[in-house]
Amino acid sequence: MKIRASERLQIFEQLSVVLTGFSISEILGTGLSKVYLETIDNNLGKAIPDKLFNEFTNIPIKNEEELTVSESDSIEVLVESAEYQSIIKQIILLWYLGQWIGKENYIISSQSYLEGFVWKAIGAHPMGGKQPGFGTWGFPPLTFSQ
Amino acid sequence: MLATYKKEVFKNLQTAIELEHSTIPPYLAAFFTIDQDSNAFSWEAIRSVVMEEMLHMTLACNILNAIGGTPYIDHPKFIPEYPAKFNFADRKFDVGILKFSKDSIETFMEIEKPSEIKLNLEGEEIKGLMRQIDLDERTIGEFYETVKEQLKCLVKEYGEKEVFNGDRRLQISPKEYYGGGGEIIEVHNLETALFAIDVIVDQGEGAPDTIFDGDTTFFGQDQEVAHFFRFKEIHVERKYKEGDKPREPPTGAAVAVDWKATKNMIDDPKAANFPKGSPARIKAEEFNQLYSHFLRLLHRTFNGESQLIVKAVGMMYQMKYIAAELLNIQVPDNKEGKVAGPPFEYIPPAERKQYDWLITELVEELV
Repeated sequence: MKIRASERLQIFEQLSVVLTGFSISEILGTGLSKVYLETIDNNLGKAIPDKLFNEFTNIPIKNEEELTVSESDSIEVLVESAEYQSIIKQIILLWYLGQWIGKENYIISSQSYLEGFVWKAIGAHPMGGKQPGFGTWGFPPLTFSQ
Repeated sequence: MLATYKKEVFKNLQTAIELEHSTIPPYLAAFFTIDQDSNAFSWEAIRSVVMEEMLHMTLACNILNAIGGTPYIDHPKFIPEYPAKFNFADRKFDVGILKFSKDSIETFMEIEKPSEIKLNLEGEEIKGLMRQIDLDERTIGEFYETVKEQLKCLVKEYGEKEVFNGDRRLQISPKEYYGGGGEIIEVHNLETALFAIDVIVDQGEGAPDTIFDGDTTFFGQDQEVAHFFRFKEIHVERKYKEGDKPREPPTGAAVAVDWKATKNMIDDPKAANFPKGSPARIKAEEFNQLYSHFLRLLHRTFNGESQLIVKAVGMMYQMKYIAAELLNIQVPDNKEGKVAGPPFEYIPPAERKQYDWLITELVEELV
């Protein structure tokens, strides 16, 4: 199946939900998915990501945010395959660190540093950015209970 | 009867708190939708104004507490439904949660207008809403003048001790405020109450017959023009300079304002207007949840638990970051490609999700 250019970004975003464990609203909220997809294309070319996106779209998934056991098993096969291991790791690192880790390592932008999911995951804030308010470090991280 | 007269002042000061608060979501929307780098001047101007509105709200709470009243904040009628209807004695206009634009700056000038200045800006048609700002006066400054007179009369009639009989522990202290002009004033007598009101009015519309706010005189801070004139500077893309008169346009250096460099936010975003389950809806609801919890915390802060302000400020920052996320999310099926924005809607306590900070407090209370 050939992926249409217009669908490519959306597929990347859905894949990102599955790989990061963050919801689609968090992914879109960063405003960075387009930039990250471009980063991948610029570093790896389009062939590898397209192949991965194709494999991903072949797995029937009802809701990326709540995978069933069998959906999760299929994703696991993809993640552990020799072919995609490296790009999948790079996508996860992009979202969590805002960095490209490859032949060259670099931070995509000041925005990507601030929006790295690592900060949300550990309930902290990026040093030097997104200040949390004086003295709030004395309290447990601020989240809604699930 | 003192108690009866006091009720009148309580009512006015509660209106003052609501009035100050009601300007914050619209100012924040303009602030959030401009890019700091391409609109540095406007970004800083609006940021400083919005910080001072928060100061004004705090000052109004301090005055109300000083005379033994109770600020109500976590209340469904506390928040206007945007676009909010602002009714002054001689003019009516709508104040919406809108992106930064020449129109929104004009509305901000309407809000902050000094008594002696005439504006030719037409108020728009008014839509139905729940809560509105109704003043018998022509400007915010005149409204506060009424409050000042009421306080003076009461003190003259009943004595300062009887009027300012509030619990001093309810006061928010100066150390709790940072990042804006002016200072928090602890109110415990007529003098400090009148001073607090002067700070509010002078920051908004300027010290009498000047374009400058009172911060230099009152607090020895750098000279800064009052809110109305700060908006005017953005509007005409030129700064005031020393010697400029309130009724005349600014003659200082030109400033760059890029009216196009904004996030294309939908007007008056509301969670219910986004499809159920859509990212815009989910984030908008998250924002409203946080905002409603925040109002509760602020309510407690101003009613005896002033130490909670540290957490309330933390929640404000959090709201800012969620608002930024909303502005990255497209409104589904919007032909103009508009993005979502912070709705500032009230969620009743029963519908609020559990919140970690509140759970911690509960545990602390039980121990």
